[in-house]
Amino acid sequence: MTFQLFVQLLAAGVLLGGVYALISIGLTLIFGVMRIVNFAHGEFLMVGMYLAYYLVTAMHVNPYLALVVVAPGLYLFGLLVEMAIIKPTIGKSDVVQVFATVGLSIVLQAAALMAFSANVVGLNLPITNALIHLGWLTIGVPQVLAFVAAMLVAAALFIFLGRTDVGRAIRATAQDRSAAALMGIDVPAIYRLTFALGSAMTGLAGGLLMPIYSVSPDVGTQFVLVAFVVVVLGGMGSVTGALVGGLLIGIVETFSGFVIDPQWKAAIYFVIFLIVLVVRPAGLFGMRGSEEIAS
Amino acid sequence: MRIAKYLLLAIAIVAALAGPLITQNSFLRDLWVLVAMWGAVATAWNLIGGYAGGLSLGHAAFFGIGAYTSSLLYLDLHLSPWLGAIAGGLVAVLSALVIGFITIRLRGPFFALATLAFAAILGIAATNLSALTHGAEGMTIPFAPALRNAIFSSKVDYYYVALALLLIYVALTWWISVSRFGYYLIAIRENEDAAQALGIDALRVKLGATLLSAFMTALVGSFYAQYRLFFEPSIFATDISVQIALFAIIGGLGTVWGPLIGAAILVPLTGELQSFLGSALPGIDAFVYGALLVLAILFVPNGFVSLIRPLFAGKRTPPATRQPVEAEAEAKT
Repeated sequence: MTFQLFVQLLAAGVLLGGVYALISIGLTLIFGVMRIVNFAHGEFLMVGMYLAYYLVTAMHVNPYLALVVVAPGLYLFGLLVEMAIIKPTIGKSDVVQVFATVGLSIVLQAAALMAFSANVVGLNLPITNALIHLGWLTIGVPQVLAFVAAMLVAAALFIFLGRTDVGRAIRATAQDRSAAALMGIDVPAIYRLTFALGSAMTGLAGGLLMPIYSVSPDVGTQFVLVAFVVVVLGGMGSVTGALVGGLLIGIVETFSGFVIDPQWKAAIYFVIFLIVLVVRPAGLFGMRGSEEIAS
Repeated sequence: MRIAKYLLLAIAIVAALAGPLITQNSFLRDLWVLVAMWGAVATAWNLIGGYAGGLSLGHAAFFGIGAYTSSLLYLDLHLSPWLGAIAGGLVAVLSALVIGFITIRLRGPFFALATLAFAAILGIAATNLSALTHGAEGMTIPFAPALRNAIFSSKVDYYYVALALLLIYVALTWWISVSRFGYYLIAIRENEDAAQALGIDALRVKLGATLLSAFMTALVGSFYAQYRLFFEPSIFATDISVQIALFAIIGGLGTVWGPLIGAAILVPLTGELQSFLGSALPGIDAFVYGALLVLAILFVPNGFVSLIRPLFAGKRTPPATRQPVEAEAEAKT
């Protein structure tokens, strides 16, 4: 492998990792605070992608301007889902929590199938095909924008969680929900906010993915497993973990796809996933034992 | 009420034996086979998912291993699928041993995710090891009806094979549910730390249940291959694992009859929804199905068995659903 090729692959891997980090942040935030693994996460992403696709193709909005609608749209969507489906499962058994969101993912996929048919569609605009040439290094503009957005979202979330009162309340709830309640924090309201916020981030991710990938009703299933791997690798509930885990998986996937065979790249990160679960189930940045209190 | 229980059981057995003979319609006969088959898989899943409390979302792995093993042995070495199924069961046990060591310590959604990843790896392997598995084009078994080949020209014959498996599995589950092993499993499900403290070797008991469940699931996988005579790597798909789990959950987790009841409700429901609604608008059948599932999980969390159960008095196993005490969850935080 030449140096140029190495750098080219690394750049591709880092950019892909940015995308993976972006789709994982919402999932890890929701888990960290609510201790709920949203098995419909991939479908939230799919909803975000279709919303962006619709705005761009039917209303001729710039794909990046569409984010202004997609993120609040998914915030609202998350709010409704939380009130209708997630709230009744809080404090219930794992079975109820896991399969309520599994059922939701079936419903959302079917709804997308009804609304948009099974066709795989994508955007084909000047901006989606734009490339940047840095000497011999070539990278796609949408990939760079998604990467930058991932970093900005993570930074904004850090500031929000670290510096604002609501952010502190969210962190307090994540650490100990009953103590938080005793301190006067409205825990159900924090849950609602967290779920809606996580959904908005997932929607944002969907909107940023739309210029890069095609969308179909089952697109979520392609991304959700990567998101789970990233989140477990980084540590469930850790935003830093999602960022680092996303980058690692992106780089590993790009290199293994080149060195071994692209067909096997998903198997490789699943193997990494299982190894992490054996060696350090809490992930790189997670609290030790968090995999056991997940219930 | 005891009499009512036995009467109902007798009626159910007669109906199960005679049912497909009365229904001549091929679609309905297929439904009978599918209910018995998925009922059997869900009953196998219930051992680990219902009794031991390990929410496996990877049982398609064992199902697919059974299908691939018996079919490959039959096609490449002309081994009778009856023996091939046993071989498939053993391969599934070996793989369950490996995955069991990895996942058995994990709890709740983490266990679900790890098992899901395991099935996904096998799906990728089945697609790409095309020299062995014929890859994405799938496995086709030539139609050569003979008892030795485990291929029958009538669906009724298939039905009785599936029914036999189902009844053995239900009987086994009943036996486990009243045995020491079953009580160990329930104790672990309710509170693993407490069970461990009382001297139960929780990991060993859970692993035992996993191995048994894997073997049982693989046998049905072999049956599926011989029944459909065609399958693809998508046999390892998450959808199949989710289906298996849903049958048991909707019917009643950790109960003897729950998984069968779940399959008997959901399999015809999917079939009917597809034939009545599917043609009207693609996706509407899955939409209705998914919506009903969400409602059932939210409003009948203990499964439909819990609705029938009050009709019968008498001894019963403890219900499955665990309502974690808030304090307990907090103590561990």
